[in-house]
Amino acid sequence: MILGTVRRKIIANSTLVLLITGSATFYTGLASSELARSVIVFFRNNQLMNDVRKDLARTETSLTGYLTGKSTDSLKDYIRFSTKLSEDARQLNRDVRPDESLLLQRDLAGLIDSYLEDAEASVTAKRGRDVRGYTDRYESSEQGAELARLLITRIEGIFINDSLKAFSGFNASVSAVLATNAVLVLAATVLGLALLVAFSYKLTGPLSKLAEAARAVGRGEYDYELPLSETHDEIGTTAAAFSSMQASIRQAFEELKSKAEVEKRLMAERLHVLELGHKLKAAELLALQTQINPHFLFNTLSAGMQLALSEDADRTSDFLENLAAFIRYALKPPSRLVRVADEIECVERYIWLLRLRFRDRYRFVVAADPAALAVETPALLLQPLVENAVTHGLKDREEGGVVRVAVRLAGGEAILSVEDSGDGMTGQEIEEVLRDNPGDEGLREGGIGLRNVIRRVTLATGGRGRVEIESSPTRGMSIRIHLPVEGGA
Amino acid sequence: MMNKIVWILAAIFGLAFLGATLLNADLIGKSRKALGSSVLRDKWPADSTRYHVVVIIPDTDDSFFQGLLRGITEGAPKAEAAVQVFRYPSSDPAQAEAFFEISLRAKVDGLIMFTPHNDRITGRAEKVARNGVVFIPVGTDAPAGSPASFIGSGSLRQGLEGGKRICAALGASARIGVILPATGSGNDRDEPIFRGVAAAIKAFPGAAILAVKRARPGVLSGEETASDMLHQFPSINALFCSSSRDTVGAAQVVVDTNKVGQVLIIGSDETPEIRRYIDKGIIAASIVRDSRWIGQEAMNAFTRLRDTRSGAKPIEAGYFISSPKEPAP
Repeated sequence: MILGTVRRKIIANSTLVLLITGSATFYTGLASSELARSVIVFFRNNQLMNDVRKDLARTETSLTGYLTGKSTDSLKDYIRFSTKLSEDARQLNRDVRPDESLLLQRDLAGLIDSYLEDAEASVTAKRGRDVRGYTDRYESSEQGAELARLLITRIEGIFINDSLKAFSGFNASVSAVLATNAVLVLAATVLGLALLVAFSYKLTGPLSKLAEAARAVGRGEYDYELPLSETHDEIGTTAAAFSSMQASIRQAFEELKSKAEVEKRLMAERLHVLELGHKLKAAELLALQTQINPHFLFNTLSAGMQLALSEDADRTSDFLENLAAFIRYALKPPSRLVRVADEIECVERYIWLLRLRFRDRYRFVVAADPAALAVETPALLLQPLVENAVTHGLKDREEGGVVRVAVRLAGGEAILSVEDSGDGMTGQEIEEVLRDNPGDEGLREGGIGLRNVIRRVTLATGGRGRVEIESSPTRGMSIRIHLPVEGGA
Repeated sequence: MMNKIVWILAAIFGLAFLGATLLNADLIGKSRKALGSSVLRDKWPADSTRYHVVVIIPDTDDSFFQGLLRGITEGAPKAEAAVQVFRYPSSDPAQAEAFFEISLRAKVDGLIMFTPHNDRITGRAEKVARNGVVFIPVGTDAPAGSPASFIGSGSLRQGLEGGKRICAALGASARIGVILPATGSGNDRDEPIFRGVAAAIKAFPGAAILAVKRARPGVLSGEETASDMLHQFPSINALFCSSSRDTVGAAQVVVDTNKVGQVLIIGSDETPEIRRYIDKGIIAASIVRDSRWIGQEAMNAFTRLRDTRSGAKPIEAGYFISSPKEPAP
């Protein structure tokens, strides 16, 4: 079970530190208690001697008091203290052993016994009113008490010597033990502190890394690498969960980013569509505007044609008729589909009008395969190309310029071509025209017309139609429009 | 890094812990051993014995008493006795009476007591007998009325031998100074040792004892007495000393006053120092009382009297001579 690991670690570490310091304290206490016990024992025997001396004196005093005053209190005291003295004597050694102290104790015990016998005898004699008897035994007891004190003094001296000798036996070790115990306590304290610090670092280290990682993520650094946690406790679990969360966030962010890119593109396209729509609207508006004028223009031209017929000006009447027909054709929506025949007719009217202007300066040749006349084509494809050929290709030719318009079927396509014998376009100009660039900046006037044709071919055929351009300064320019024929090969 | 420090500290703590454990164990062991063998006396110095024998002797460094005590101690195991020694100052013989009383009231089994030749031994012997204690007086000369259990080395014979040695060396020209033991009392000229010397020189008319003086108790009193004697009687050419302490003191005075060869020294008893002076020729000879033998015999007598309560007889320990030609046995 992972949960509770940190708690167990804290408890274990605290227990370890407590054990270390506790053991040091235990040893120090053990040494101190042993020392104290030794000191107590040193003076235990002296304490016994002190008790004997004290009880002996009290017994003497109470005995003297009784013998001199015969008071009951003194007798009670005598009995109490003599009993105590007897008990003291029983604690003394009575064995015969070759040891000065023990033999002195044995002597003292015998002396006290003798003293108590004399004292008891003197009390008995006192009760029996044997004056001589209690006087003699009292004197004997006093002599015995004096001798006992002499022995007590000797024994005390021996005990003191024994104590000093015993103490000196390990006194030298005491300083070393105390110093070592002090080192032990110091080492235990430092070790405990170091363990606490090390444990704190070990415990809080991963937390600090985790916090730093959280701050980094907060700053938006989703790629911040959180080091792998080596622990398998709650912190390790939290770190792993954090890493997993970080990866999830990163993945979600990538997805959002990707979505945003798509949406951005969509937005751009929408803007483009809106722009196109706007242009369309503008164009429609323009068309509406121009629909007003054409009616006026056609009526005017028709009036002019009627006037020319009434005045017998047939050529002027033809001019006005062709012009009106051309304008009517040209002003209709260019996105409409017409038959190739209509295009040919439009081009022929336009050429008729040009011949009025240029007479025999240029030669126009129109050749149409009848099979191709019924093919549908976007309107106004050929006229702008013829206009470009005259306006740009042949503009510097004073005479001899030729413009060929041809329509034929080949390979399932209707091929509409306009060729001129003019100066043609440079390679760079052709690339500019063919480049898929929505703007018309940098193009010359003829280039704009050509690009318009290309676009309309592309849009009308869904990209299946194409325009080929060939140009050479010596051979002129040839533009071929390939239109797919529905049901063709 | 932290882990390394912790390990180092743990090692230090381990060493300190081990050291503290060993030292504490050592301290406790020493403490208990010292306490047990002294204060607690839980480990008895020896098995208990049957009899309690008290020895009362002067508190002196005289080799006579050292030898006496050694002999008693050596004889104790055989007699199944534990020996308790009471020493009293030579200057305060009354303390001997206190120890005597203590012994009787404590009802000891035996009492070996140094007894000068003028001791009131009769009353003491009677008192001892009343308390059922085996009493063995030891000393040099048996006091008047001494019980039959007395064991000693007669100083009369010691003085006689000393006088002979001096007269043998100096003849009629002998001018003798006699230093009496501090343990005695009474009239100097009644001291058996003096009487022995006096008796010896009678065979050499012209030889004379110019001075007789009792040494005072104390380590330096022999030196002091000899010095005074030689200062007061410059013609003294022989000193007779009745104790080992006085013998060494006299030899030092002779050396210090540059009278080696001019003053003959006859000493008493033998110590390593006396033996050294003998070997150097500063001391002519020493009359050695065999106090060790006296002590051994005292314990033998205790056993006999304890078992039989009769059959005691005075024992004269005698002496031997220690000289450059006659080394002590």
